[in-house]
Amino acid sequence: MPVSSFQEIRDKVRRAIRDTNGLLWDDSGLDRIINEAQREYSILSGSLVGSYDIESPEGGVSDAPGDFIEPIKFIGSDNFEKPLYSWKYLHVRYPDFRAITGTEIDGIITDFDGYGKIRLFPIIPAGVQVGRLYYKRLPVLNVIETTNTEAIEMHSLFQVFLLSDHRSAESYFNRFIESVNKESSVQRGLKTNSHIRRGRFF
Amino acid sequence: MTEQEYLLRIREYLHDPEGKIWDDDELTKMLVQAAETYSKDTGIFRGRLLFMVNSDGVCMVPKNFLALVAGWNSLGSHIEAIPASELSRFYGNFSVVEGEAEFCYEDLDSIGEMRLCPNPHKTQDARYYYPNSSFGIPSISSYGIPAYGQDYGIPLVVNKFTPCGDAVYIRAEEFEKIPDYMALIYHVVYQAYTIDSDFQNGSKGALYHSQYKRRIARFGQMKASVSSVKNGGKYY
Repeated sequence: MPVSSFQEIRDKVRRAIRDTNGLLWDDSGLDRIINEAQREYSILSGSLVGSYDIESPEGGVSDAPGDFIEPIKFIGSDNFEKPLYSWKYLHVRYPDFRAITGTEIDGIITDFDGYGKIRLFPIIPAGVQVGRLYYKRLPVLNVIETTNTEAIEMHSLFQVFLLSDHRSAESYFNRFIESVNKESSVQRGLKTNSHIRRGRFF
Repeated sequence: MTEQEYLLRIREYLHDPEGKIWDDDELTKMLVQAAETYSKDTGIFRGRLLFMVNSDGVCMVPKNFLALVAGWNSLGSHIEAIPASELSRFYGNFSVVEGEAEFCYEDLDSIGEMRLCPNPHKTQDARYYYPNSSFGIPSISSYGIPAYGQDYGIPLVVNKFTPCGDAVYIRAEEFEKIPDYMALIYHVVYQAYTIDSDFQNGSKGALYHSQYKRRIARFGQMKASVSSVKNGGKYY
């Protein structure tokens, strides 16, 4: 859902570079920069999350959506979370993990077949709904999807100054990082500790 | 993103819109180099090959090959990548021993080839079929050879074999197909500012290189997000 408009961010950027009448940067130029800023924001923060239902493909390997960055969680069709296996872990236990077949999914592998490929383990018959994958995603073009408009503004300014060959670029990039970190530690982290005991058995 | 779109964006960052300093060919070469470096640094693009060795146990690796991820022999057992110096501890006669492959190593004689040890060429059951010219198939040397990029004619030799294994490898991706286009743009600008010319600018080069490094540290680092006992100490 759009939480802010491009116009608001354009105005903020123009005020910062003293170009309120848009003589240096027209709307289309700024929009491209704002889209790029939000893309960078989503890659860095991982705050934009998407999900899709996985249907078992022939051979066990399917393509993730085009806006996929990396997986977060996989919830099986039985509503239990299933692990994201590292292929190295499976390979030690099942050297022929690519050929093992079964009737229900134990987990998925995303680090073996290449970027954007999801492998089911074990391979089950095609056409079965196996669960839902939540993933960090890229933003939709021309829509502001985050409430952290400060980060978008800072990165837009970074790009403007970078393209103008101005030394302020680096300081705006640092402020962009700060604003992403602020969001990560305050809004999403919540400083909650797990109640599950971890580490050694004692 | 197409090559022209890339060049347009790169020229914006280089402040060279008309190509007076860096021409298109130069930038395109840098773009190809950036794509290869990106593929190598992230390791996120994978390919698969089937092993087919000659009688010396040697097979070619694809042109886009960057590094081996994992290999398996025809029985499904793991093939370990190993340097030849270490291999001699397992097989003193590693260059002549035959059987199902357990190890692979870089060919000592030439670059771009890989050797399997033990040499599995006999397990491939390779057969060669030659058409009999007396049954009407002319033995003209140009038959079966592609002309001007088009296949035509009748093949002179038919090879049949069982692959002696397969492997997954890290490959170089083409720049048009890499989704993180900004990383490539940053890398090209970094290259442009650091090559030996009147427009060399070390500080700008360092700035763009640091931007490139930041991108590859986050985008596509699939290994960091998956769990295993070895990696992170979780239950799976």
